[in-house]
Amino acid sequence: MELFMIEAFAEAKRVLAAGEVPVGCVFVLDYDDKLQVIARAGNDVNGTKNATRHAEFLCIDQVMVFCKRKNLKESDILSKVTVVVTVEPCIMCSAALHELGVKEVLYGCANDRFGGKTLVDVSYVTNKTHDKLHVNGGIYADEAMTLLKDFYKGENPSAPITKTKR
Amino acid sequence: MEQETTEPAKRIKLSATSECYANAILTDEYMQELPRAVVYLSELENKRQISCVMQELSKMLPLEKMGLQHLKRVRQQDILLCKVIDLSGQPIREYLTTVGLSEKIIHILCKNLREQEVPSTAPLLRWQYENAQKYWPCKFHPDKYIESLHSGSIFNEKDRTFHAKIIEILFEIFSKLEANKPCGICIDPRNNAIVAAASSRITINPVMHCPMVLVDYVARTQGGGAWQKELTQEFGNLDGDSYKEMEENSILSGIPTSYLELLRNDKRFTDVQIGAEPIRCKTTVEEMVQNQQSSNMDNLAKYGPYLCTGYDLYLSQEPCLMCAMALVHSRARRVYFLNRSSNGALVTRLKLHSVKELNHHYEVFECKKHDCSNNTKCS
Repeated sequence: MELFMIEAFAEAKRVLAAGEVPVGCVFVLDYDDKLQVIARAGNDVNGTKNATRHAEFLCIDQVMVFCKRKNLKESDILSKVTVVVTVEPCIMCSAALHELGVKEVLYGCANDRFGGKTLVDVSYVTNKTHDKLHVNGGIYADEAMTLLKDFYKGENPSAPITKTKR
Repeated sequence: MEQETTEPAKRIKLSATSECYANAILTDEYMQELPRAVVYLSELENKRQISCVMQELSKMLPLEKMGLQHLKRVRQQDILLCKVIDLSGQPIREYLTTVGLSEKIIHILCKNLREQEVPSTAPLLRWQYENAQKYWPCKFHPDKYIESLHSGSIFNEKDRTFHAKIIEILFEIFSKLEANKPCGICIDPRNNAIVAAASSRITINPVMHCPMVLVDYVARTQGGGAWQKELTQEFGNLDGDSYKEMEENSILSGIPTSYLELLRNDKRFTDVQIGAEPIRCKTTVEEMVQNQQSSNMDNLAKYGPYLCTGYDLYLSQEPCLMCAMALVHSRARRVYFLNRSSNGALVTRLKLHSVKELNHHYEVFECKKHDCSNNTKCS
């Protein structure tokens, strides 16, 4: 499963070129003893002017299309999906993935600013304490961090200038 | 402004004319009694001893070092020595010697010792200050703004009338147009104009909770938006003229057609402004910033629309964790909600705005008016 992280990286690098925060994600479906990537995306926040367009959300949208096309029930599919993402899902994404009931989440580096696992007990707040979703990180963490650092060295072209701290 | 003179410790009960009020959901540090620590007090025999004792104590055992700088040192003949816990089991006499007090002073201090509970952190609001005074005299630097949030005096009659109006519109959309699905409205508070309005679309996609759709409609007013394909119907059925207007007027592109018709045709709402400020071109922003007229302005006034910066959101349901965090990412200024949700993340299961590590914090208000729904969950 860890090898799918390489595909997630490809997405991260692709959106970095478009000026997005370089986070990439793939949804891996484990079905009939076959592993299959059914969604892949990077962040698309600046492109859509919508701060919620994280890679995970684009993948969720793709799964909806996938299920509709194949006439499958979303919840049946999502429960067999491993989410592989280069950076720890933020609180919003983590809450969504808990709510949707994916099988597990594997991430690269931690996210101490928004991280769902680091800052908040997401399974408690979303009331999903039984069937606890496993969220584990540390896969290719250095590579993921390096990519983020490269981005933040440059400037987010859409962000307003932050107020200077008194 | 008139409310400022009334007693700030009590929440203001609203006058009969306004049926709507918004209570700030403050983080726990403002709502809870101050934590307390146990300290040693020494009761001196007479007040003349205070000055010489104080001289040594402030040098050897300063309050700052114990994190008790918000307390006064003396109350009548009682003088505060140190936290009991700092002794880690050592006898007090020995401890006072270790920190370097002179024999003479230790002798005076140890004549009449007792333990006492005192507030271990500084009071933030007047009610905490008044409560703290019962334990031990405190210093207090009132924060007018937070105090007004707590008392409700932040809103004047005009604000409350506006809240009531928006909630009326929300209720109308909710009950007449959306079959009791959660609804939300985004307001630009500078001119009280409706920027966008939306309702839950979880039948299309399980993550299309009302606030998620709402921020995407706000994005449309800025030339963005992610769910253009999935959510086209709402903006369909336009006659030729309206469609042309929408094309030319992206400032209205956050408001679905049926809502727009309601706002334009219902006499109760015709005085409400609609439409977002168009996004500014980069050079205008740079000029403004260079002219330095902008030092006191917030980011919305300074740079123009960017995500939900400076905007206020009115929601029929308390947002869940996903939605509450989406509004943090979107940099909303305020979130007003009507009904608590069983999965709510602003008061019910968590106060997301109390997570200090986040890079943005909005203010949260719970509105009371119509019993808008029997909904119990954010969706």
